[in-house]
Amino acid sequence: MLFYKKVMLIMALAGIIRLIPGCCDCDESTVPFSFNKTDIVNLDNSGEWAVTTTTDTMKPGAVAFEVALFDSLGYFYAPEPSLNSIGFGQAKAMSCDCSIPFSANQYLTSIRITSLYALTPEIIAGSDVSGHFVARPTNNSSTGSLYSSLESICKQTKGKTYYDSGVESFGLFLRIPVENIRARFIIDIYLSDETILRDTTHMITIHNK
Amino acid sequence: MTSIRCTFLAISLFFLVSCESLVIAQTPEKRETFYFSIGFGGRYINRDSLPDSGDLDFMNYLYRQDTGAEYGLLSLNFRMAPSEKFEFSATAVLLSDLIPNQLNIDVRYKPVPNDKPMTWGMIGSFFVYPQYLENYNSYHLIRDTGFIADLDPNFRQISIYDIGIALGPTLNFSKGRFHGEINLGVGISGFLPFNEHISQKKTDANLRREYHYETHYSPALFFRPGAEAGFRLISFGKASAGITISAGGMWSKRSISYKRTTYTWTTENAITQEIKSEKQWYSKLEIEGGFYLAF
Repeated sequence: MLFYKKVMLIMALAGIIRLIPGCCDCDESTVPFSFNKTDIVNLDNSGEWAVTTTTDTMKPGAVAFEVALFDSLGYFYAPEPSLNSIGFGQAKAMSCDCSIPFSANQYLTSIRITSLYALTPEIIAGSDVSGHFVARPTNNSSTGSLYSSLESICKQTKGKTYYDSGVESFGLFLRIPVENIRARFIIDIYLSDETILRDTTHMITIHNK
Repeated sequence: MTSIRCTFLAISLFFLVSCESLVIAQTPEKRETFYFSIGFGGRYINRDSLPDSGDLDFMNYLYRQDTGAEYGLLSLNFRMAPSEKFEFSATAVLLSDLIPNQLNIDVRYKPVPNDKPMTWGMIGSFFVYPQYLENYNSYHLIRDTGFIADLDPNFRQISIYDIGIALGPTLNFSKGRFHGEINLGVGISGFLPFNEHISQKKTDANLRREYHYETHYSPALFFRPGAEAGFRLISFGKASAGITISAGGMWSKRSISYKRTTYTWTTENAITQEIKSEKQWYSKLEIEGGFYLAF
């Protein structure tokens, strides 16, 4: 009887030892990808927080867009490695919530925004209006309620690891009220490998009511 | 909050160790007296409600009610008299959240102990107690028209701590079953600094701004009278038990000065101003009754 008790004790201890390192062991190696495609959607920033919208109408003081950069090959998500804990190997939770980290081959060096229409009598069509825009990350890295400069947005992409998906996205917000009835912008994104990604916003109708 | 509790604990431990060393130092014929009491009562806070001038005055937003006590109190008091000349007292007070985040430590010294019904002495006190500061965003809600004046939808309420020391004379009396004490004290206290911020956004526009408030420790002199009376109900051996009632007040002219930083659009656009608020009368009155056990 004593023998069986000892066996049970040893098995119990073995079980405990298995449980102690039972946390998920996530693979931290990054998956490389490249920014080669952009997408621009309109933002409705008339309320408390900016939300994406399909309408092309904006308030004069609330012209805003969301820009996303990603890899056209679709590195948005990488599957997690299969569960390989067998026998008395390392115990592992049945479902490990491991984010697969991505790392971009380039980083943003600058953003240039050109207005296709006059914004005010002083800011004529074709002007570089980058200085009139501020930005805000649209993912969890955004802190506080304030905006960042375009330079800050570019700087934070250097050496960045993307845990949720291989997408860099941020909002662009015009600081001056548009005095024209329409607005449209060309957005050039300069990358560290000398490539330039260009996209044009939708034609925006400025609605003052 | 955690650091304040740790400070309480450290002070309490120091106090207990000090008491113990004093007990050991006593001559054998002296007998220490221990005293425990539990009391229930209320705290009334009153402050001049000055209109906010061009700047937010946090003193106007200390919690108060139109009628009744602002805070209900449950106090646990422990006293120890290692000798006839010294008495140490520690009181932990619990508010409605039942967190013992108020501490009073008193040291009484009687230079000429005697058997007469009245003796005088000195009392030195250290105290820290919390107060609610709430709804201070209403300053912005009223003033900043054209803006969503506070992007935080939660009710604004924080605890701020008033910490101070006091010194003054005390008069003790004892006659038959009655005993009591009257004391007067003057001291210095101030609210511990705290940080708050308000985020705003212009309606129908991209403009965002934030106000960051960093308050300074603004100590002020205060006057603090107090009285306590006890009635012994039963005695058993060297122990006794009874009822006790106490009241104490505090009057001072207080202000909460602060540094205000206004950020517009980005954190790079900051304007910092030092704000000195006008001093206003502030008073605190506590009344409580309870039971004690001395042995």
